[in-house]
Amino acid sequence: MRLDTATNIGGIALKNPVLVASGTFGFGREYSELFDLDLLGGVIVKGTTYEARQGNPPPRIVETPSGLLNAIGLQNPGVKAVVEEELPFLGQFDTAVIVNVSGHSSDEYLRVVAYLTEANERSGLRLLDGLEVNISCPNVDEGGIAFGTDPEIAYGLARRLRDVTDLPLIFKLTPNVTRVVEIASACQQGGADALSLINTLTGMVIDIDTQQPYLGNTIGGLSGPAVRPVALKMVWDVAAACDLPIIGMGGISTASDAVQFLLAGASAVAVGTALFRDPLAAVRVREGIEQYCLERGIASLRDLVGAANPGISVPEE
Amino acid sequence: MTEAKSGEVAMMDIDVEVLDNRPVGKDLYSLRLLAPQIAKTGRAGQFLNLACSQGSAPLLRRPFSLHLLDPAEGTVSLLYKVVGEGTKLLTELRPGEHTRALGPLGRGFPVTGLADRGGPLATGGTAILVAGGVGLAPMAQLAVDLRQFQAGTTTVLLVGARTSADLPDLDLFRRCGVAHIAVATEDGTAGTEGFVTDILTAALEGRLEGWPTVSPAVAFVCGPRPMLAAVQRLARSHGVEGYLSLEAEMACGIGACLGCVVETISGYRRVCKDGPVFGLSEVIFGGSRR
Repeated sequence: MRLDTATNIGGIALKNPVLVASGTFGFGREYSELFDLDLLGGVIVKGTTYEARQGNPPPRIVETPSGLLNAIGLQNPGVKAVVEEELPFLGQFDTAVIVNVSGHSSDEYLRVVAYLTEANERSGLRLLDGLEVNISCPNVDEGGIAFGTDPEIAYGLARRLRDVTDLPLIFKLTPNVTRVVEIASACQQGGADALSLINTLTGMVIDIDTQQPYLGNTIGGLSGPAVRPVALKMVWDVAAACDLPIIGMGGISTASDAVQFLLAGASAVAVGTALFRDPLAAVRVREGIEQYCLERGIASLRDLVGAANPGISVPEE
Repeated sequence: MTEAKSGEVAMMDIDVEVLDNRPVGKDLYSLRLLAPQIAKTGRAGQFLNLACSQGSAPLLRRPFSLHLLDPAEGTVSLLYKVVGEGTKLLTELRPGEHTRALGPLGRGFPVTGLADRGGPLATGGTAILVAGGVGLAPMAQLAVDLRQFQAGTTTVLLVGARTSADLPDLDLFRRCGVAHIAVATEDGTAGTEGFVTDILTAALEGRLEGWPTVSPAVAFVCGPRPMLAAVQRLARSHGVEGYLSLEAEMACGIGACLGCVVETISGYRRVCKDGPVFGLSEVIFGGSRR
């Protein structure tokens, strides 16, 4: 039996459902020394802003029970350098390239998306396949409230970005909300093509020797196996309420973790923090999903998507 | 596999067998691994990222300096101190058991070609190795590399520790090519009572009994950050150049996650990829909470 592992995320064709999550994989250079990036369904690159950012003061990371708290602070070389120096490198590989877009104002997101869209058109080649919009950033125009915590702001951002790009737009949702489904629907109404969930959960650690917050930024984002059940439940809820395809992420370390997200309704998955424990984790997840399907006579990955979730009707291809 | 920049040999993630894992001091262990690829290509000051457990707790691997390499036997020795959950679990590894190691990682001490670039070691100067506590780890391989690549250089070692129990047997370092060793302990139970900076000052000023003059010198420093900061100040006031190796909590270990950055004169730099060895005057200490 030949297994069909292809999937589609809002217009981005993936040859297999396993991506690597933004911020855990840089722009792929380092990991490309360890394995062939062709093995991945796609790479979601480091959060990219318009201008270069130096990021937060250290310490930026601290380990927590089965988890990792980070406050990197969007350190990145800026969209121009990403287009000129990083994306051409990733273009060598047969894998989807998704650029994660971050900003602290609606205008900044707009400028990054417009820049990437124009660069992609101008290149004449495939520079990138889609955009993942990180809406967990605080909005400086709205007193620091995160874009992704207010349905109206999320809707407004989606509308503005939709107007300036034809590239697939994936909105990455924050779990730090009361009703994630409302945000998901707002993004869909605004013109998003797909959703990624979840981003990290906010948290902190206090050093009892110094009696100060441990992280240079005081608060950070929690990822890793510790957040997985939370992420899975959010994917489950959003898949039932919203028609958009979902990239499920949050603590996925093994194929059985990934299969749970697919069964809950995700059309693809992203592996992130698990890479720090096992740099080849994403490859192993992919192989394990295939083995799971073959052992059970599942001919197409699409047959798994949402199979456990009575709330959804699987969209027809 | 692609060849990394600047002639570094590509890192790899490999299964390693534990050959030996035994205490060599208070909370101090020596771990010897069968890891032929890393033994062959590793350099002093580089490190590997070692899995300490099978499950997800603790989640991250732990970075350890390459202590001593035996390319002929294919072995890599690490010297580690038990400081937390990960290193505690590591002490439970028995000979014959296996774990995963990613390496060799980072930029090590620039030993090869150091004399070609001029400076004190081009003219038969002294390599002063300065270690605080488990900062001794990279110094054994560093002495070996200096002997191999810097013939004509005299290598001396200054060690600081809280108490004599914190020190491993220092004869190993003599066998690696160190000509003179001086020790300082905070409680005076071994060597001079005081800090490693006290004996470093004495060495630089020619006041260390039985020692040759150590000038001109290049310093190679590894230890906790307050000690590195103190050595940096001292080296500056004595006009001594050199290199230091930083410890940091790391996630990926390969330069992708930007979690382990340190403030330097050229902005934030990654300890795991741009370091762990930096120029002695490059790192800015005291800019952050730790």
